[in-house]
Amino acid sequence: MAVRVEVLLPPEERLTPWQWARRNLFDGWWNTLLTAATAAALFFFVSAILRWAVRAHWSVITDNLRFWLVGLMPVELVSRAYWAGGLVAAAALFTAVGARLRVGARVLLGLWGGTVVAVFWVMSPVRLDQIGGLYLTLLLAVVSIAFSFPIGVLVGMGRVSRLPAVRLFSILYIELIRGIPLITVLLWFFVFVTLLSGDAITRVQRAMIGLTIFTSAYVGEIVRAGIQSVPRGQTEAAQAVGLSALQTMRFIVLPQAVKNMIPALVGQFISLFKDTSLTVIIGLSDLVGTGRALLAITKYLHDTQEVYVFLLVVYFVFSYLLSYGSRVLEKRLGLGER
Amino acid sequence: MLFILLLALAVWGARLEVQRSFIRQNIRLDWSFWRQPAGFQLTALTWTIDLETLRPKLYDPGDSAGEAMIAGLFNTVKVAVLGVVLATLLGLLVGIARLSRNWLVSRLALAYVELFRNTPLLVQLFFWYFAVFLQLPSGAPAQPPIRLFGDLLVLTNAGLAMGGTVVERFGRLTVDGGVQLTTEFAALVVGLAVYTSAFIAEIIRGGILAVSRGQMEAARSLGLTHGQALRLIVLPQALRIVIPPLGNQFLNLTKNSSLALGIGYAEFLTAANTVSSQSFRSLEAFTVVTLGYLALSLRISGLLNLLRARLRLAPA
Repeated sequence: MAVRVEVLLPPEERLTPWQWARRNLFDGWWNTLLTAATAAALFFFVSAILRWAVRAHWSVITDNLRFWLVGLMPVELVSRAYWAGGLVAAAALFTAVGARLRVGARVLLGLWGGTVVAVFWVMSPVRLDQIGGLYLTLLLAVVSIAFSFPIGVLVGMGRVSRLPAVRLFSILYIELIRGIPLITVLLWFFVFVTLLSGDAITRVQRAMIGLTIFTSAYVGEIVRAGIQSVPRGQTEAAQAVGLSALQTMRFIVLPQAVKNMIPALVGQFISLFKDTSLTVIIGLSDLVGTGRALLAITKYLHDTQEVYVFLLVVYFVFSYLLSYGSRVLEKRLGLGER
Repeated sequence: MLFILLLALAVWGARLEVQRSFIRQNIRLDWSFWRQPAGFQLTALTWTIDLETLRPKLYDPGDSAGEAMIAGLFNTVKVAVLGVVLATLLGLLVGIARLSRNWLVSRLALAYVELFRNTPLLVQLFFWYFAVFLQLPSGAPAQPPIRLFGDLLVLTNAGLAMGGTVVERFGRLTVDGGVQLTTEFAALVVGLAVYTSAFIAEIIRGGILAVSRGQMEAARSLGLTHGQALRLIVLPQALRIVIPPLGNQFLNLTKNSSLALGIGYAEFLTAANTVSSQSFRSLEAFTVVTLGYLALSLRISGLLNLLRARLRLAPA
């Protein structure tokens, strides 16, 4: 019979706003001084920003929303992009609501699978080199992470493999890529493909492949750490009951490893989302590229501050939403609690 | 065994395909560009290594392309060292502010961290360069330069100068003497330092939290002030915890300095890019850059491993 131990939590403290302020802002003369100085600096800073924002020429943003969203996509196809965006937004909304209502993971997985197929079908008449703006940024990030996940799992498993050749290859790949900046990977691959095949592979595809090559190495490291975080006893027990090495990996180690990997993977995805901005250097017209193209128009020549502040805000909102979502997911899965 | 065979076959096949394609298009790898004159100016005085005598010298546009790229590598190291120092100081400040008991200060530090961690470095660099540093006054009579601390720091859109004297030249106020930094260099260092400091702040915060609370409480009960306890007891212990992730950030900063290509500061990659567009030897130039960064990364992680070994506690 297990004994139930009841842990009593300390009684909850309820503070009036006045007490709270006394404790957190005006606790002693030094703290009061700090609060006053910080508040003054903050007030000065925020009011300067607000004054700037009121005087700024926001027409570079508001008059060109279509370019920011989809770039130079042919006008007759733009409505398709909006439909696709709507589908994804609906799926995201359903997921958020579904998470509250405890809808099964299989239903959500099926929903997202269906959404992806539908989006591909809706967007099928649009060529890859016709898109730009936010749409291209998101597409680059999603496609690259989707491809780098399986490759990353392979090299990550290869790194802990017992076969020396496999292990050596995986280590070389991971360490080489992690030792060089992303922009050199993109540039090198860009030049190499041009020499090999001319224009047969579009710039967008080259960027996708370059980002995938780069991210796979980092995913590989995450997978390796995930696999190594599964206690050895699990592998030994699986082998003791007669599973082969492959079966052990497939049924025992990977399912546990994946759960440990989720926070790091989401972090990698956010960093990939930010890194897609580097594709502007190889001439893609993603969000940043769109901004720079607009700045080249005579009318908007002096709106640099507006454009770059807007870009910072857009990237921030998306990255922050992603990291917020991952924190909710971690809590749902009970990660970090054992 | 099967895997090795398949891999070898794939590599061999790819090599053949590349070779065939190169022959078809009459492309040959050619390394002679390395010794041909570069002919372009780098933004500021830069050291390089004379490829004939292997002695350091100042770069001159008449030098070879190889020497131009080495000068770029020197610039990368310069940016990295200054960036690491600034990022660490800033990160330490913000990291400690994150843990402040003052609600306003800790929230402000959190906002700083979230803002700079969640936006791409390239956009931040563009912002610093195009939207901040290039928008500074030009020094013309209508736009007098910003003079801080009695001309100790003078800011114009041509760069910033420390400790020089302000003189008028061609109808503009410029600075003579002192330490002069170009706009590109200033924007790059500020951008890299601010971006990396957000990550460092989180590492510092984690390191301080990892030192057990009892240490702080014991120090306070011995009569040390909060500041003394932090400086003498907690930080030295946190240091050992934060060194490995901190080292990773230094490595990241060095690799990220390659984004200078976007704002045109002549570091390693930008120099190589100029060489490649002048000599049409892109593949060769970018291969050199890749190997150069790899060597730099390995050198830095080697140094960090050495440091880690030095800091390790003797087994009790």
